[in-house]
Amino acid sequence: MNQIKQIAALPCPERIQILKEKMLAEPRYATIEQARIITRSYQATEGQPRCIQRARALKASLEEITIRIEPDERIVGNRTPGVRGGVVFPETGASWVDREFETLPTRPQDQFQVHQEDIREFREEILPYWKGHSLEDKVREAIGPQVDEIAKVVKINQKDHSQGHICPNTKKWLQLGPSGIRAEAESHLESSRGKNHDFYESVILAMEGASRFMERYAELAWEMYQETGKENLAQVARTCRKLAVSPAETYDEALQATWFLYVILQMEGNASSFSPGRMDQYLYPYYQASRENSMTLEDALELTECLWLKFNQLVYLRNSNSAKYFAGFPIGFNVAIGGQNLDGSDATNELSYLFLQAQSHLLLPQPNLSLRIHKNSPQDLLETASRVIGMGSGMPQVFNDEAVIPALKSHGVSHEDAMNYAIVGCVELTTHGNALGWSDAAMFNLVKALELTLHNGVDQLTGQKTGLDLGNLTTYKTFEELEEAYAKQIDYFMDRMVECVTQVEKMHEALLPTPFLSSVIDDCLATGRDVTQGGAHYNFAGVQAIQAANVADSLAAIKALVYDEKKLTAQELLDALKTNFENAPLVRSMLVNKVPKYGNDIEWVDQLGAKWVNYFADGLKKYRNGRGGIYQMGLYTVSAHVPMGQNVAASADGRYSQEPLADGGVSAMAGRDTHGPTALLQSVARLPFEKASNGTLLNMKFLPRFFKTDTGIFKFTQLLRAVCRLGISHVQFNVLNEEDLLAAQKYPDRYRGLTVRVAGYTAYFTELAKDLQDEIIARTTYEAV
Amino acid sequence: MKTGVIFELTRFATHDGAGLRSTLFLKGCPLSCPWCQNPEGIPPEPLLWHNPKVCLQCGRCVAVCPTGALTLTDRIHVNREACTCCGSCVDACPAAAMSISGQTVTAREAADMLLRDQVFFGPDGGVTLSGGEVLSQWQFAREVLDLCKQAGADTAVETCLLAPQSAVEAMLPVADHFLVDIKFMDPDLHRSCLGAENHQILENYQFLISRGADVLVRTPLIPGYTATEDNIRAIARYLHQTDPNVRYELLNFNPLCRSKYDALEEDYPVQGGALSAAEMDSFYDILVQEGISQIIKE
Ligand code: SF4
Ligand code: SF4
Repeated sequence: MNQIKQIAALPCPERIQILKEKMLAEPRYATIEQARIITRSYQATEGQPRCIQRARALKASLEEITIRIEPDERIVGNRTPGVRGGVVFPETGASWVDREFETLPTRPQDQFQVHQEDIREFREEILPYWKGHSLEDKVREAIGPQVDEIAKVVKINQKDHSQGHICPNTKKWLQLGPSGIRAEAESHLESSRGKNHDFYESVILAMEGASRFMERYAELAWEMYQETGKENLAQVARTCRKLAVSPAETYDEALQATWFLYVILQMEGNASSFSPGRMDQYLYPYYQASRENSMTLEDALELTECLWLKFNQLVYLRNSNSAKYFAGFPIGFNVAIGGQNLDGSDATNELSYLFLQAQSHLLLPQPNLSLRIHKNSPQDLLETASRVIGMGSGMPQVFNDEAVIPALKSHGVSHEDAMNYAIVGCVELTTHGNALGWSDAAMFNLVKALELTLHNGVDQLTGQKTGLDLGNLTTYKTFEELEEAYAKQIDYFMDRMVECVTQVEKMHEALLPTPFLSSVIDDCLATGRDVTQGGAHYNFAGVQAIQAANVADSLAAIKALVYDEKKLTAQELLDALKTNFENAPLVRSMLVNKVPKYGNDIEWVDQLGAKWVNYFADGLKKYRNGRGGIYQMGLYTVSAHVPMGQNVAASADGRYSQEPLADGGVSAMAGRDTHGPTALLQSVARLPFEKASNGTLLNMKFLPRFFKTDTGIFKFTQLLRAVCRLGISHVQFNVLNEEDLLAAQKYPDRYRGLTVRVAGYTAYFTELAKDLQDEIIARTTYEAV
Repeated sequence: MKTGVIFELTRFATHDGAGLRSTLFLKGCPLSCPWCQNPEGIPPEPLLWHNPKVCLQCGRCVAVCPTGALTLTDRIHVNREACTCCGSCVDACPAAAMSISGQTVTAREAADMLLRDQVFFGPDGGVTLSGGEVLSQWQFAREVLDLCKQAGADTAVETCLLAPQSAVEAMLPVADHFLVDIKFMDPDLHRSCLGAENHQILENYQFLISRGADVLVRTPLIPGYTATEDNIRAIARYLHQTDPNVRYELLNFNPLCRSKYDALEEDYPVQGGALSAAEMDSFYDILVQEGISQIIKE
């Protein structure tokens, strides 16, 4: 395709550079404007059904929130007047804001500036109304103690914000627009009764608000056009006016309509991640229409990049603890490209390449760009994507149709929906436009559960008995006895976890119906039920099993050194663990060095990880979630391996107390995979990806030099194809920079697998003399420019 | 079935032929290049390898050694005369700072090691034998490659070609590609520096060309040794005369292996680092002047 070369040669438009710089220079503020509007609306609608109250609060926000347009913008819309504002959202969480408001500008992760007068207004006028009534407070009142008791093993999520991780039916939104959807709701209204009637009414209110929101942007743009004469503003005004009453027809209208959808979803939900999914597919007809009607490639790219910038303007204000688990304000506009058509043919098109080019220009954290590959993915696509990966933004991340589609199908997803899967948030899998996946119901720390099992149910960090007392390492006579006890411990916490998750879901149903979201999730409008009531076609709940590598390595060390080879006594090991290896450096060294580790293609070790991940997935099958659907297992942590590691004392894999766990989800423990990327991938492939339908995460690291030559790029595509053949669901590639290498010099233990590949042999970076390391660092920095 | 002595397996090898490959290193080499990147591969017998960078200096190895070959002072020192490679210290070391370089395996075992990553090879990747000098164990090598070919893998041999012609001939049916190292053109330099004549090497090269083998010639550019204008010009001229379509690659010097010499408590004779891009370019100019059209760059 000649177009591919043309697209790859397109420069970054000047307009984009200006907008990007401005955006990044603007300070980030926490804002209470919407909180004020919502609170007033609620006060005026006391006693009405909750879904109506919520719809009216959204409508009021859409009608009243301050709006702003940058003079150079071609795609407009935000939920705060400033960019990247943190929205205080009292319906879900007011108490934590009260506790943390002053610390927002100085907290270690995800800081926001604050206006002092906002703090006062919040405390005096907003907080009193919500005290005891927000989701956060209601959950705490209902299940606070239960949640706290299991917190070190199970982190229950969605306690103080709405459930996100949803891929709405954007295609439908584009085809109908707010007026079309409103008409659909109206057609059901008459024949419906009671709750259903309320639901349709709430959808109508939300759509009225949406139309008005678009009109307001049209008015503002027109005003600004008259002042400045800037043609882009006139165009924006025409587009917004049209979208308020009718569907999109051109590429720029479709992009603008898409963006409005996501802004409004966030204004209603303030949730982490609503994801556009397969934009290269559903936007393609609009793109084609515009191309046939004289839109140039340059213009298409500029418009795309305008939207790409927009994806970076909504961020998510989390509480400080949650910010540790999900660092970097991720709000997860996940865009998937490539993949297959329903008939199995390749689905790549010009937009796939255009999106990659946009990514290569902006290198910003959003959208979270995901590449779907399959056994017949075109080489051009893999090469283009590899070059973008080599630029070091960690994107696109790679998803493997050959693993994901079977996994979804074995969890009740139809063939048609599985072929059309998308990704939400970071790496969570979903169907397109018809699922409430509740993908982050909870995170389950299997490493902590093992700690409790080894030590009579006693938490080694606090000394408190929080787990089942089934014995300790010295009382388990065989490795099998230890495994039996471990299984019981897991069962115990899983039971308690499901009770809590069910309660949380009930609270969402009672307090947080989401009419706007429900209007773009199939079958809600057909059945007259909100997503929180189980109105979606698919109703899943996802729990992450954490962390296969540490479980495999710990059990392998215990099995080999204590039970099989008897090089250590159970007491020796227990003492070493209890004292964090303080007086037992050689014991720790043996744990680290004398037993093979997950990530090195050693089958028996990998199988120990696979076994417990399997056990966990099978255990989940016994339960149903609050909306009647099944639980699915995920294998990912994003950044949670750090705080979850802080909850775990010294472990038998030689990990020091409170050190991070293995990263990602299915990655090896840092520095313990020393046999190169192919061995790591072979190990990873032993995990049961068909059971991890909620999503998985593998991180791999490469030196930038690998991407510098055509042969390097080609070899990288071969690696991607092997990932595909091995049936690994996901992999994300980090390109190491100077900082990483300096860290490797300082903490060689964590980087022992880092290799420098040269003709003749492969050298371990950490084993090189310092001056040689320095040279590589110098070259890496130099090459990266 | 033949057995052979190997000392390393590199998976995801990216410089030993096309595509993604697995490379197995065979022990024993008739040359002794002073800059050798794998000095542990030169002697045919096993060698105790101590890695001072991870050693905890706990002395357990010293205590278990039956021959008194180890002493602990500022670091662990190995008396190579005394060491019998019994492996006791390897077992006793809690830090994996001791290992034996050199392992006897059957051809089947060797092939299985190489084929373990077959899923990665794709259309043009495969297996490579390297060393040491592969042809010093040519019967074993032939069997290993034969097994790999039967499994459908692409096969390559990295060799300096210092071996009887019969050994080279034996590889023809089992090796899809030859990566041939030619270091010096001048026979005297070759002998004085590497410890052997080069006429056998050149004869074997001509033999390979005459038999239509797929050959890539490579010269490592070693400062103070091979990286001289005269030498590269002479090699290029010779290659072009022998085979006008020769594929020729210049390998930039890589100083990383110095760490290995440190571990072995030996001095590394090559001074300086990799050649600059400008220096590389001036060598490429020579190749062009000598009529080489297929210059392979990484
Ligand atoms: S291999 Fe045996 S003989 Fe050699 S140093 Fe170790 S223990 Fe001593
Ligand atoms: S036993 Fe291992 S760690 Fe201890 S001194 Fe010997 S080589 Fe070093």
